[in-house]
Amino acid sequence: MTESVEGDPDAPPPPEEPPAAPAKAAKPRRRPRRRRAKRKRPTTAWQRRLRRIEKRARQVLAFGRRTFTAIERSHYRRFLISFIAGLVVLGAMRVPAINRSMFGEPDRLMMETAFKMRADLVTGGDPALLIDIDDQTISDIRQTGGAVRAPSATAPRGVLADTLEYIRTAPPGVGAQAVIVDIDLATPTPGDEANAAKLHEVLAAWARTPSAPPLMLARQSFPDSLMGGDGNHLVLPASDYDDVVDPAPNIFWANVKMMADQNSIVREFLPYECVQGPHGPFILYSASLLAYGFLQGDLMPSDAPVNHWIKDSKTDCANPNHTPILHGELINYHLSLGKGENGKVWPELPPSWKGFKRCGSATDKAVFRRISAGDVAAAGPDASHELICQRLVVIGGTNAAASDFEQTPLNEMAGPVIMINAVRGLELSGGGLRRVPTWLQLTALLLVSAMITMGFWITRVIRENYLALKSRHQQKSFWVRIRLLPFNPVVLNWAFAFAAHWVGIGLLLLALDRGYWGYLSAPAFASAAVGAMQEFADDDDS
Amino acid sequence: MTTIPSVRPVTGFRLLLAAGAGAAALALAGHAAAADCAGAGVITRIEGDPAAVSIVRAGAKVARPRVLEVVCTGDRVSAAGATRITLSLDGRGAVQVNASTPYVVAARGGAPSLAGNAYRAVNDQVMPDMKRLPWDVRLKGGDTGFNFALPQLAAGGQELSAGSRALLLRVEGGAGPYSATLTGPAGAVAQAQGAGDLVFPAVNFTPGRYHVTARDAAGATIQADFTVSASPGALPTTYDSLTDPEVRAAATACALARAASDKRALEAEQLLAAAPTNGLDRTRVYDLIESYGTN
Repeated sequence: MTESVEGDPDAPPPPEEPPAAPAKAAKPRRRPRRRRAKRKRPTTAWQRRLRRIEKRARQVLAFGRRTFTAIERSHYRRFLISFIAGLVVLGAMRVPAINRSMFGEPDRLMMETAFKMRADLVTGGDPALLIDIDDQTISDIRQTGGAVRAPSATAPRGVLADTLEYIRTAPPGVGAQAVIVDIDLATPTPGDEANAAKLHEVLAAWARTPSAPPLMLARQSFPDSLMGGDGNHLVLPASDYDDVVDPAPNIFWANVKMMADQNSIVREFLPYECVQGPHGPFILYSASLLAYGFLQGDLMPSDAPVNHWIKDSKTDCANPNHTPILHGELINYHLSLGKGENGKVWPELPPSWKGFKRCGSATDKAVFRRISAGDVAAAGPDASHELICQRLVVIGGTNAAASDFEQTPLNEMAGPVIMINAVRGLELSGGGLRRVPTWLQLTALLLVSAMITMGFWITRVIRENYLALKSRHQQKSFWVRIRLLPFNPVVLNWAFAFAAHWVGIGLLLLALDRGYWGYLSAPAFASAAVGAMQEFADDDDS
Repeated sequence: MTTIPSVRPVTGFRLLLAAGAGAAALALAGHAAAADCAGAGVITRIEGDPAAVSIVRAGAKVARPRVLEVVCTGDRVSAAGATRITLSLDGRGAVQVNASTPYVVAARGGAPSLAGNAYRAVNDQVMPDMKRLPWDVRLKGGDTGFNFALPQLAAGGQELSAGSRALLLRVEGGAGPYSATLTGPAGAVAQAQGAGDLVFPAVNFTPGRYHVTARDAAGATIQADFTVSASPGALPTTYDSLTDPEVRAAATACALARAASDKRALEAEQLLAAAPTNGLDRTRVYDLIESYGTN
């Protein structure tokens, strides 16, 4: 076999090629048809059904493939990265130390807004009556004439005795369901011995009255450093009423402590305290927790989240190395009686409220009512008991002398109103707010991530059009350019973020009505932030 | 190991926990619908005769209206004679009703709405209220200026003549009402309570050292000692010629306090306190007695 070497002068010239035939369009090569394996015709009914399902699945898959290929590949990537970022934050949020840090702040703000949105609109639960030792009550008992003296910060025992007697003497069956006294009776009241003795008698009568409702009396514990101890334990000092309360079957000491965050906003209540009482160790349960239990009676949900406090308290308080509780039970705020507010209109009870059976249809229908303790004390024995029928009654004070006001997510609120929110909040949420199930949070995050990716895609399209519009109207008047402003990508991004925030609040409102709360805002923010970073990165690349 | 004895609330609570959730369905089934009375407020006070109060509801008179009773939308509330009624109405606050001004309870207005709440929530975010609230950082129960009105009393040099008599003890500052305990050489003698001036009734003072402890309503305490003497000094006789016994006592007391405020000011106050009243503004005289020796 001879080989011609290129560039060799001795080599014979190559034979002339015949002229090429006129160019002919090259026929695309047909792909050889894949020979399908011959299938057997379905013979049985289940084979035919299987074939139909297979066909439908193939159609769905083909539709999905067509849809996905219609979207740019970069959007998948963006969605996936955004979702993963949100997922990481969502996982981190389940760590208490992280969700209580600054990363949980967006969700706390969202919850605060949700509380404000539903304030005074929720109608479920048992109605509550606040018998208020207000400024009028204090003013009524003050001595007239002479120099104006500073008012006493201790609640008048005579008024309290009259109020409790009014509640105790309600006809059986139409009295209050539970009563909380938000006044520490152990505080000495020098100079008021006569009224203290009267209160002692009323409490003794309460203990002897089988139809009297459960009565929770507030007590304040003190660190034992005040009594010469090392400060590591809490002490419940003796009170002048111990001889009546301790053996009474229907009177209980209770704590009324609330737990505020570092901004002094009360968000939780303290479920129990391990204290050293006059007769030994003692578990001082929260008045809100006890009142909730008594309001529920036989209807107490067995899966109520607050049940764990009762179970935990015994082992916790039996532990000699007991540490104080740092995070209590979340308060489900829904009533907003602020400082100095009077004459507010409260929502009405639903017709399904169980108390209508006993109290009759003409009973007061407001879910909440405030009445001055001075009016109750002055009402006398002939007063109607309609107001307390099957209600949670709280005796507390909004007076300026005691100044028992705290910051809450809703407003500056009196202590007894916070307590009513705590008790009724437990009722509304079936025994405490639960965390939204993980699968639901994941689904919501998936949707939010998709919305964010779609939002960025829309803003990108608008931005491109905006730039074209802007260059087209460059020489136009100022007002024409002002009209273009809403299409500015920065404005649009703000609008999307605002809409996402309120969608989250809407979801939280739905969740709270069902007794759930969840962390969505922080993961959504993470998704959005990562989405924005990708947007900038892609812009830099192009 | 510390053990927690049985805690009564838990006992009751455990029973509640044991109850099944299924019972809830029973309670929610078949409730009577309530539509008779659209509650709009409460009768908070009836001053006068409760029988003079009349409420007409849907054309019929309500039998025996009482204080703390709910009033419904459309109720006509009226009073006869000098009786006055105070209503507390939702959205309106307090309303007074008397014989000349009957009142028809209007429907409740101004109920909160989701839209209103949303507006306020947005408003709070866009234009947050940046007001500052004054916060008193005092230590509760601190010094409230609670003292004996007679400053010399705290020094312990006051002398009082022996015999059976009431003792007036004036206090100032703090939070009323006040209480006081008097202890003599033989132990506790008497107690007194009051809004301002504390009077120990008819104490038989025998010679010796007496101790008095006064408390205000906030728990602040002040203490003083004085001596009861069998042979006290003579009283000034300059004003014996005055015919009005109250004025005579006041003038003599002032003279006594001026002459020996470090020893006899308490005696001077007792002299005036024991005199029959005849319209004299004694507070000013007491203030004068207490001012001697402090300027």
